[in-house]
Amino acid sequence: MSSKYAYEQLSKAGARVAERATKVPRHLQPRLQKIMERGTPQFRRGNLPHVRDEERFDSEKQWRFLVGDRVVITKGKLKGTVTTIRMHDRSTNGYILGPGGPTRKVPVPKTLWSEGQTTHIVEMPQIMKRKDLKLVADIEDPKTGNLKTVAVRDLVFRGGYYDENYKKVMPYRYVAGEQGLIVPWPKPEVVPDGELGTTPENVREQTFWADSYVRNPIPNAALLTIRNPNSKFRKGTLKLKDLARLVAPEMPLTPERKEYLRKEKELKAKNKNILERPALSLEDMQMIDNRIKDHLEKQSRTV
Amino acid sequence: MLNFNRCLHDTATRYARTRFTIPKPKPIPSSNPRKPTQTTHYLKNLEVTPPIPPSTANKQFHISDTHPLWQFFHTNIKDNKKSHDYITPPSQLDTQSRSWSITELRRKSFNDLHSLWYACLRQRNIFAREMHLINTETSSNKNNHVHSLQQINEKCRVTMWRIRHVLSERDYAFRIARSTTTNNVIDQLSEQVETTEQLERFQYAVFGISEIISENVIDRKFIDGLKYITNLKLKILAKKHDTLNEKLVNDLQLNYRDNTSSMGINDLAEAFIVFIAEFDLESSIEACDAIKELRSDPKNKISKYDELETISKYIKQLKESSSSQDEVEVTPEAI
Repeated sequence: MSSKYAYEQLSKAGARVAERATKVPRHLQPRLQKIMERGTPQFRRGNLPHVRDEERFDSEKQWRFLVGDRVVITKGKLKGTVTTIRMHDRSTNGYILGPGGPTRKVPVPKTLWSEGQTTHIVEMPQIMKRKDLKLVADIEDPKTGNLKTVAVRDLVFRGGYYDENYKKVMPYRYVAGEQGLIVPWPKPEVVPDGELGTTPENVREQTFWADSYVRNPIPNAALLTIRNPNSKFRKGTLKLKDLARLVAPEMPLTPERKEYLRKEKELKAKNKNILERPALSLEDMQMIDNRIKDHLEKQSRTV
Repeated sequence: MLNFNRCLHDTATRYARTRFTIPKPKPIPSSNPRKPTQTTHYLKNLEVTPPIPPSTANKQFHISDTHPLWQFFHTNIKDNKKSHDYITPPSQLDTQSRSWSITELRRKSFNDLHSLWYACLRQRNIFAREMHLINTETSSNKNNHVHSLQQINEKCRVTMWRIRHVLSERDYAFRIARSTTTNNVIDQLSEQVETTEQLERFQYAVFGISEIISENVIDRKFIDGLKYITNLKLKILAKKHDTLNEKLVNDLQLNYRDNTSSMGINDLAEAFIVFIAEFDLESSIEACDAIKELRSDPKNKISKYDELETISKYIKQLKESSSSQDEVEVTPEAI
């Protein structure tokens, strides 16, 4: 959501409410999609519908193919073409393929022509669905020992390891049904560290030690900017007024109920011996033990 | 997203003109309007001058490259030449970096966190200005540019709340430690002290007494700490060295090897002598001699009510001597 005023970016106060206001109810979403599509020119529109935020792919397990993976197209005019994944389209959960991938022709107005463009018609890459692609991998032929290129029907993800290239824990990508056949993740393009980043050495350097429990590590003047001492959420002690609010008053009993409770108490006192649950003595336990033993022996004899 | 303009069901009727809502005709402009009650001489002296052409080449607008306000603009380094961008080009925005995590921030001192806070704040200032300016433009890439700026801005904001969280956590930990540490814990800790460095760390941790004199706050707690450290010093050394133990028992009637007796140095002047002495045998023996001399005159005993005033004097003297770098021995007798 882009806002008109810069100061709106400074604080996040009320952002949750504002976000709720922009959310379109689920039953209106198809209609909205239609209106949006009608208003969007063809060159700005993708060939796949947008997916809802909660359905968007997030992890490697969901994407299955990462940028740089070789894939084969299994549907459409270009069925059988082997190409690479160039980009993920997050808004449609789709893949934009590299050279050799499917394209479509769209007219572009002259005001938006790029440098060197001579015609209104431009070839735009078509977004592909996950189910129309299959991963291509090189595996060793057990008979000849040569490498052969195969399309993997299905993938299974198991375990995990720290990947130096992605700098995070990645799952192992196994070929389904083939024990121990792993298709490694593609090596991503090396992105230089951003200028706002801090070097790992500087981040890991420790400069704070808890060296005294008498001297506060934070100056007194700074405390007010860290925390609101008068916050209503941090009172610490409950006063009588707060307790009265939290504890509901006891419901008075009706005379009938009082009478009933009295009678029940009397009855309990009277039948105390009868109602008491008999305790299981050692002899009883021995008896049960013998009975079960006999029964089991009998059973084993019959078998 | 959609812009839902919600209207009340009675808007139409309210806006409809009825016979009661015919607006009054405008008043006829007065033929004799009232003159301004206040006038200034500036009004009379006003002269129309030729306009100054807006140009950065003008000398009066020259700004040096080292002007601190340049920190609020993106710096572009190309061919070893520094230049500043009015708005950061989208290709040069750092969208890859992430926020600082809480575990990373926990390792940093207050000063580091304070600096990081202001670095983030400055960066957010730059983003706010750039977003405001981009929004006034009419480029096709405007939304994408603002969106990536917003994302980086959010990362800075996350770092900032995490800094506050870490400091708040640290403060709570400090308060809890202070309220739960008992004398037993202090005694247990004191048993581990062996070297001078450990003693320094112990006195700072438990009593907040720093080796740098000017950092200390003189109060009751400081005096109690001073006495505790004095007795601890003598106790450790007396257990190690028989000569010192004999001296303490014979001259000062102090037996630190006997755990049952709770006797120790309680006089401030005596405690101060041992406190400023080095943590070794020779200095302790010298300190013992000084205490013995001090005890010879009963006037030297300091009453509990004068302790604060006296220790302030001692410390002041100590500060002066250390600042003048003269090797003047500061003893209670000298003061």
